[in-house]
Order: sequence, then structure tokens, then C-alpha cells
Amino acid sequence: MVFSKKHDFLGEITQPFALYIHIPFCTEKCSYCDFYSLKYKKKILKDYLKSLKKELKIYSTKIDSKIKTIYFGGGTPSLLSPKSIEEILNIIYENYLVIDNIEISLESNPSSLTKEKIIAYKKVGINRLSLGIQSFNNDDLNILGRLHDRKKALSMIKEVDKQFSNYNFDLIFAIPEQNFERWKANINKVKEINPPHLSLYNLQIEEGTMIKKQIDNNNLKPVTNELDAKMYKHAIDKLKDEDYIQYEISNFAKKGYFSKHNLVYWRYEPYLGLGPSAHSFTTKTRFSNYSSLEKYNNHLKKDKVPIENINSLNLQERMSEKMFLGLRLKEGINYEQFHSTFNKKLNCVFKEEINDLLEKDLLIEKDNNLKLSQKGKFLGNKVFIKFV
Amino acid sequence: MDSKYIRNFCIIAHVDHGKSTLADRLLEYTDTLADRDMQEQVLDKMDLERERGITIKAQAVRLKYNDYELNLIDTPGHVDFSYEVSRSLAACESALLVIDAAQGVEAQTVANIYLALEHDLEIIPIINKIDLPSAKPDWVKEQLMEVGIDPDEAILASAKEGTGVENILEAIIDRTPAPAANHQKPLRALVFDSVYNSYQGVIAYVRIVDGSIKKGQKIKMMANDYVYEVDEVGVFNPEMIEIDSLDSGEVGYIIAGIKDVKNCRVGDTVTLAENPASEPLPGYKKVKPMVYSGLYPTDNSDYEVLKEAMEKLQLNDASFTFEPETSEALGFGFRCGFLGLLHMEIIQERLEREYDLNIVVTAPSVVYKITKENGEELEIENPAEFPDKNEIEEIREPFVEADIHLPEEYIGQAMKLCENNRGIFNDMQYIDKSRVSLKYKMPLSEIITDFFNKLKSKTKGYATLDYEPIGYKVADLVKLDILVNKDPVDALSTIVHRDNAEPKGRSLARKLKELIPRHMFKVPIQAAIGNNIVARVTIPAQRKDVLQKCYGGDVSRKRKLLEKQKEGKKRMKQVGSVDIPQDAFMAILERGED
Repeated sequence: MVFSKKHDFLGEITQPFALYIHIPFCTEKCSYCDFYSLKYKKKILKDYLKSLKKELKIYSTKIDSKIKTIYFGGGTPSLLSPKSIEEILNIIYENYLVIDNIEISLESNPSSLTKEKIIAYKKVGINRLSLGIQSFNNDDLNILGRLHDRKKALSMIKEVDKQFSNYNFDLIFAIPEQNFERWKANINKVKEINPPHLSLYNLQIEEGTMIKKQIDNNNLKPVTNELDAKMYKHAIDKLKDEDYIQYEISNFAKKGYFSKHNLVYWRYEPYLGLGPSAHSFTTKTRFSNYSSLEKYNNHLKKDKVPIENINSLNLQERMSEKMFLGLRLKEGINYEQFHSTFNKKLNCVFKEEINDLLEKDLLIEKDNNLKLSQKGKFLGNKVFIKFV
Repeated sequence: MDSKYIRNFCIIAHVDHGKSTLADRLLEYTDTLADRDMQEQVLDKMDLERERGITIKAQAVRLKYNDYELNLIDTPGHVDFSYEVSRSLAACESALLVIDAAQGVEAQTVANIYLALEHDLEIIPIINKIDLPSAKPDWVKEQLMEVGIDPDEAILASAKEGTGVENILEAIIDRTPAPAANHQKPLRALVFDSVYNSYQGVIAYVRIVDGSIKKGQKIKMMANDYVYEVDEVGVFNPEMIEIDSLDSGEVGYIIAGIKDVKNCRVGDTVTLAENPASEPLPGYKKVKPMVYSGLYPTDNSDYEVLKEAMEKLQLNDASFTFEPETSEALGFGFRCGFLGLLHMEIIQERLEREYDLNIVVTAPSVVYKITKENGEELEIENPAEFPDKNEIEEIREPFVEADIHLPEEYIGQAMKLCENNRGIFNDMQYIDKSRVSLKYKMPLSEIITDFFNKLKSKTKGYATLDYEPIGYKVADLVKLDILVNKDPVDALSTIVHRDNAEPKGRSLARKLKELIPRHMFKVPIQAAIGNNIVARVTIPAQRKDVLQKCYGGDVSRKRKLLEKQKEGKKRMKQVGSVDIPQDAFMAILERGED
């Protein structure tokens, strides 16, 4: 038996769920990245794919719900050949039920893309491509340790735009040394390209990263809090003019192009994450896989699920998570929906917190929904920490 | 035990020269501890001692070697506890002076030699760590000669590897004078430490100087004439073992139903109620706190817990005092008295660790004496309680004589530092051909800032500092107030010399700007003397604070980051609408470059 009684929580997935597949390989580690990733090698990838396919099959015996989105994330999923993607998708189709018009996204690095690969990905079934552009400025790209330059980024976007009606690219702001003009130029470029979806992140400087070291050694100057805010505000204002909807703190899209996969996270719906260090959520339990590829492979070789941590959430924890995740969305949290999910009234459970935040103009109430104010979007953590 | 078979000794060393390791080896070699009970720094019982590598409480242990009874007294090693150290040394006849074979004679080594000579101890020099590739024992011997120690007497050892341990034990027996046998005289026992235990009450660590003591006898504490009946006497092995009697020359403990360490102070003399000694042993001092600061729970609801925790700590520490006080900014808390800054840090850390409390400690202050215009005399230990300047006729502050020992090449730097801290030059003498003793009269308030740290950094760690109070002097002092977000924060007030008031106000305001986090609104910080604003800085509003990246469904990571942020906020004290971190209240201690 692969599963024992301790895996009964998988039965908590009773609605269509999102499937996340983690590809933990990169050709080079970016200077700001502190995630689990391995240097890409053909042989290692081959072993990994074998494990992954087994993991897919194992879970299909325990989960009956339909898959509503598939997302290849990383790492660098575009290191996988279109053929590998096709094989994985085939296993999914053979073993799971999927909804109609399923969204299938693949994260990609411009440096690992070619025109042919883009066409081939589309052919095997990818219908949404996400590009890690990060910046159109070569100085920014250098500091971030990215392998592509402006020219490669623009040419790949052009190809993707030809092939995919639905695609995204990521941009990072508040990069050390970045000035406002550079960021403005990036946003102008966005307007020109007019992609259907855009993710904007300010750079978080994490402990143990190359970029952190450089800042500590005074080799790079971090941007000020004021400039970070100014850049974010500039993006929000300009993108609004171009009919983008900021449907989540960091995500902007044209109508009809919201990322269905991302919405699952924020809307507190279930997802299954496969691959080393991947995280899953049943709506009541969170669990995650071993980070080490070796441990991950070994478990699957022995027909065991590679789960390292299982955390079953109590009601209080679930309500708290619902708050700090749901409030990230433009739609915010619906009072009635909260009540029907938890059988508790939102304005009873968090009465003091909500009143305090309304008073500070960080939250607003609108149409039976509770959401971040414009100020709250900039100071989201001040809101979120009230609920943890 | 016939006192000619008794040897009482201590170990003295510069920090990190291997004192605790040597003690561990001696315990092992003499089979005092079974292997399974052995751990590093075995005599330092507190976690805090192990972590900091320091000894805070004195300890004693009896070692059996051949026919001899060796009593090792482990002493604290910091100027805050210099009185306790002096009482521990007074209980010994010899001192093992441990010197690192690679580092050589250092500041504390010399200070230790003087301390040992002052107490008439036989010094047994030990050149430790000879296993190190960088060990230079011959060089150390030359240094020893310069400080007046016979290098031929030095024993080469490696406490880490256990070499030389037997030679050391032999030297302890051969060179330590046996304690004088005064069996017939009336009892006099020196208390060199005392600890409280909830089952047995106070356990007094004693050295019997004259006479003997046994269970059932009535004893009298000579400092206050309180009488108790002895429940138990015993020795440390290192755990306590009851024996029939303690005789002249021996080291051990007395339990006598004493309920409070205050009635059994370090340095006191125990005698018998019937046939008491006519004179106590010399050197007793009732140690009084030298510095005072406010201790407040960051969460006001922890007040009672804090109070109970301090009561418990006080049971073991007669030199720590506290009484309730109220601060407008911080709410209900306590004004506490300490021997010095290290003592203060230790109490703070123990409260936070052992009682899981978050506390704010305000900058330490000395006791000021004030004569008011109306003739009233005040003693002020909290700057917030300073009277209005129009009411003050005269302010006096405590002075100390600071004795700084250092190599001659640093004299200029050290003198400059003393003068910048209002020191008045008193004397300078060569201790040997390259070391100097500098004596300055200084306000105690200047010493309790980061003076010692500065002195050490200016002398590459070679300077040692000792000081003793020499009374009060009139001084031109003013109260420097700090306003945060336009409201005065009484807990940030401090007393400074008028001439330094403005620069100190400016540097404090700048320091606070670094320490207080940004808020959703602008926070002005002002320094004021009376109604006069002498400095103003503004902490800009925080414009953005939001986690943006979505980490592929890793919500627990996100949660942890938020929890960390929330925890950080909880550790700060909310004053009005501003969160002030703990270290901001200490900012006055760290000054700019002097």
C-alpha cells in the first residue's frame, strides 16, 4: 500500500484543484534567488522525470476530483523539452479527469527559449506561457544575474506574442542601483508590447543570496523605501490607463486573462504540488515534499509518497490564512462566503482587527466585501500581521 | 581533617586562556566526577555562563588527591563583581595563574597577579595550550619575568589534551601553604558566596578560618547579629555531601534555615552564638548597587509575572534591588539597582530567558544628590524625577577613582578618552618597564556608559579598569529630555553635563532615528533642555511594506515572515502611537566617537 491512514487528509480535496509541477533545475542560480534549485544536468533530469511520473500516478489513485489548472513552475521549466512536457501531460490525461478549457501554464526563461521551442510547446498543449523577463535594462539584468539580455527578451516576447493569445511576463522593480527612469522605461515598454498579463514584484533581498552579500559589502546600493513605493505607484497608475486590472497585489491583467492558477492560491482552493519542495493544500491541510532531490527520488523508488511535512490546520489558522491571502485580491473577502466556509461571521471573529484597520484607512468595505484600500495595497503587511 | 593535608586554591586567568577547561581536567584527573557527569565548563552551572564563557557565581569543589583535600574555588571574573572576587580569593592560600602559551601575558593577567598578591596568595603560573602550533612558552616565560614572576616555577600544560595536570596537582600540594590551624579559637567562617534553594533556604559557601562548626550549633551572622541553628554542614563534591563538621582551614557549606541571602551576605563572618569571636574577619562590605535603571514589561499585563520573577532572582542575589515605579511612557515597572552594566545585562537576560518575559530596560543612571532652593535634600536615581531646574540649588554626582592599567604606548589615547569623559587626572605610575597605572577621578555616570568598551578598543584590549567610589562632587548638570512624536518620553530622559548637553542631544536624536522603525506616519524626534529644543530629526513615514512575490503556494513561508514581523512588533514598547524597540532606551549608552 502506497498510502496509509495518515494520508486520509487527501480525501479533503473534494473540488476541482490546481496541479503544480516543480522543475527544480536552473542553468545558473540568479543572484537574488534563495529557493531550492539544482544545476541542470541531463542525467539528473531524466531520473527526476521518472520520479515525477510515478508521483503523478500514485496520487491519481487517491484523488478523484478534476484538475482545473496545470502549472509548470521552477526553477526553469523551459529546460524541459516539449517532448518531456508532452509525456507528462499524457500521463495526466491518462490518470486524471480534467475540466474543459483547462489552463496549462509553463514558466520560462528567455535564455532557454527558441522560436522552435515556443511553437512546439504550444503544439503539445501549453496554452499559457509565462516569461521571466524581470527587466528590459541590461544593467538591471546583470545585477540580477540573469542569463538573457534586452535583445533576447524582446525577440522571445515577439515570438510568444505571435503564438500565444494568453501569456505573462514578470518584471522586478526596486532592484539595487535601479533608478526611477529605468523603471519608467520598463513600464513604457510594457505599454508598447501590451501583454495580456503582467506580474510585478519588488525585489526581496533574502538572507544568504549573492545580492545580499553585495549589498552588505556596499558594492550595491539598495533602493529606498520611498523609491520602491514610487515605482509601484507609477506601475499601478500607468497600467490602469492601459485597461489592466490589478486583480492581486502583484498581478495585472486584461479582462478575461487573470491567471486561473494563481487565483486558486488566493481564493483558498485546493492545489496539489509535485516535485521536490513542492507545496500542497487540501483546504484543511498543508503538506510539502522533501526539498532534496535525492530523498524525493528515493521515496518514489520505494513507491512511497515523498511528503516531508504535514500540517493540519485548525479553524483559527484557516480563518487567519483566508484573511491574509484573500485580502491580496482586488475582490477582497466576501462576508457571506466567509460565513459559509467557516460557519463563523467575519465581523465577529476579527471584529477588533477589522475596525482598527478600517479606522486607519488600510481596509475598506464595499458591496459586502472587505478589501485593501489603495493605501493598504502599499502597506499590506500592516494588515496581514493583524490576522496571523 | 588535619589542616596540614588541606590546600585551598583558585584559578585566575585572562578571558579565554583556559580557566574552565583546566578546572574540568582537574576534576577528571582526581575522579571527582564520573565520566557520565562530565560536561564542558562543568562548574559554570548557568546556561548564560556557558554561552558567554564567563563565571557569574562563585563555585567550590573538593578534590581528593593522594592523602590531600584540595578545595578549588572558582571565581567570577568581571569588575562588576570585584568585591565577590576579592572574598573568594580571601578564602584561598594560592592561585593558579593560567596564561595562554600563544597569547602570552595580557591585561587581565597582570591585574590578576596584583589581586592575588594583595591577598597574599602563592602564585602558581601555568603556561597553558602548549599543544597549539603557535605556542611560544619561552616567550611567555620572559614576559613572566618582567611582571615579577619566577619563570622557572611555571608549569607547561595543555588542559585540552590533559598534559601537565599531574604536575599542577603536585605543585598545588607542594607550593600552597597549608591553612593555619586555629582549632581552639572561636569560630570564624568567611562567607564567599551564598545561594538560595527553595527546599533548604540559603546555602552559605564558607571557608572556616578559626574553630569548627557542626550540625545543631547556634550560629551568629556578625554583620547583623542574627542567630540561626545549623541544619547541615557539608562539602562540594561537586554536588553537596553532608559531613559531621567543618574544621579550621576547610571549605564547605552551611545550611541554617536562613530565608534570605540578604541575611547571609558575601564577606560576612559566621561565628557561634555562644562563645562568639570578638572581631569579624576583615574586608566585609555591604555592597550597594552602583547603577539604577527602570525595568518594564513590554506587555503591561506581564507586570505581576515580572515582579515574581525579580523576587525569585533576588533570593539569590543580595546586590540586586528593586522597587515599583511608574513611567508615563512605559506604565508600571520597577526601578532596579545593579552593581554595574554586566550585572544589569545578566539580570535582564535571565528574566527574558528563564521567565520568558519581554522587557524594556531604561538607560542606567547613578544616584544624584540634590539640594533644593527650599533646603530640601533629594536623592534621585531616576532622571525622570529630576526637579524643575528653577527649584534646584545644587546638584552633586558620585565620583569614582578609576585605576587603568595599560601598556605605555596607549597612554595618550587613554588620557584623551578620560578627559572627554570629564575625568580629572590624578596620578600616573609605571608598574613595570612597559606598563602604566593611570589614575583619574571621574563621574561614575561616565564610567557606566560604554567607557570600558571604548577603552578596550583604544588599547587593543590591553587595558584593565578598576574603580572605587570616592564620594560626591558638585556638578553643573541638566536634564536632557527626548520628545517622540511631540510627546516627551520620560524613560528616555537622561542627566548630562551642561557643556555636553547639545552634542549629546544631537547624537541621541540621530541614534534614535536609526533604531526606531518607520511608521505609517512621520515621527519627529526632538531633544530638549527645559523648553529649549536642541536637536530635531524626523523619521520619514513608511511608504511601502507588502510581501509581493507569490512563492508557488508556499503559504507557510509567507505566514512565517508575517509572524516574524508581528513578533518584532510585540517586542517593542508602544509609547503613544509609536513603537519603540528595546535598544532605543539604551541608545544614550552608545555615544559617537569621543
